[in-house]
Amino acid sequence: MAGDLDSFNQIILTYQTQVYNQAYRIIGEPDAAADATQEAFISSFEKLHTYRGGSFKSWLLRIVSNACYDEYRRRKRQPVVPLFPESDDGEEMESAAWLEDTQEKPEEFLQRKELSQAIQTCLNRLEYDFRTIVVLVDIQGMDYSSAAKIIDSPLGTVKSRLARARKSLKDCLKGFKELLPIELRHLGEVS
Amino acid sequence: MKISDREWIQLSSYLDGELNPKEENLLEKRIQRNPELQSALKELQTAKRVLKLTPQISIPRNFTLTPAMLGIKNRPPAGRGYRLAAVALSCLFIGVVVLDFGSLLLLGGSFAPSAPKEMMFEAVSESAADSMEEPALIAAGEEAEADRAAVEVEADLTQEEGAPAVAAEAVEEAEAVGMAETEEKIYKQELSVFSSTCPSCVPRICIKPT
Repeated sequence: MAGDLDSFNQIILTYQTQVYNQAYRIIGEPDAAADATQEAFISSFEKLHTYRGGSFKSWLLRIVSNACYDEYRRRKRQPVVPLFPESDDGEEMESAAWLEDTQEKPEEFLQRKELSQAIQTCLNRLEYDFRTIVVLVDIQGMDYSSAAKIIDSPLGTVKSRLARARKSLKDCLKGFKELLPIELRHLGEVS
Repeated sequence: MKISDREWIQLSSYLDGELNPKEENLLEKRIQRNPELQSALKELQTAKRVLKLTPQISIPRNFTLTPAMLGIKNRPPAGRGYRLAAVALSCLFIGVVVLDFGSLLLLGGSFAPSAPKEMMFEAVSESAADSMEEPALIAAGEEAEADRAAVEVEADLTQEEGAPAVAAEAVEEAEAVGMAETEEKIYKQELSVFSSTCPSCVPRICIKPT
């Protein structure tokens, strides 16, 4: 058992950043994302016998998506702590600590932080199911069939949810045009 | 020309190479003829590229597992443990109180010892009364609430099944009478405990059932 756990912990070290990012981008709250991530790894260790080959990342992301949904529902039932905390002027807040990269210049860090915040703000405005699929495909880079297996839905559902999510996101991102890289600032301009 | 939902789905799938060759060919021809489709495709493409640039967030800590974590997860649900603990503590408390009063009676102790002890005894009795009173009332309240909820569910089911609403009302009324009788019984029991064991104590039951 100890040997199995050590080996599994090596797997965790490999995937934990991706898994945490998946959880954070779906849930939108760092503590909840950390809880979901931990739950997902505990669950995946206990269910390791159910892994039947194929993409381990997909298998893991499926478990973390389920953990995210459970965490999301749990926090929605307890609205004492806002799911998307807001500052005094009503803007959604994000902890900057996790974005720290000591090799980055301050202005680069700020730019990255603002972009991350803008993207998360727009993601948070999506319905849960649409958010999940766009994070899986556009942020995690999953293909449609892998995403369909992860969310346990038909391919058609993936296509329609993704299209609707992207449509909503492109409208939202227009409001943050100045934060986008220069080559992408034409968003919303009719040529 | 407004772009339909179906067209948005096709454009989005086209971006990811998820259309079959025939669908792709047809869509490309339509895009060439329609500036709005061109604009929409460009917007979707930009959104996709922006999302691809989403900064990765550093993890707040390592998520490696320990045997303790796996052990904690395997414990029985907290709710069940809490209830068992609550029952055990209640039995212990009742046992101590009964033994306490019982030993005093057996020794023929008067209830007018020296003043400080008497005051302490009254204070203890009052606090005991509070302790004894609150769980009962809360329990009765919870029970009443559960009964009310059960009645409501039954009423809903009764109505859904097409039974007359009058029958549901009768059930509710019978339950309400039953609840009132239960509360009266608890009140009388507690009052008798005080009168028999501590005539000078003031019962602290604030709510009298009607």
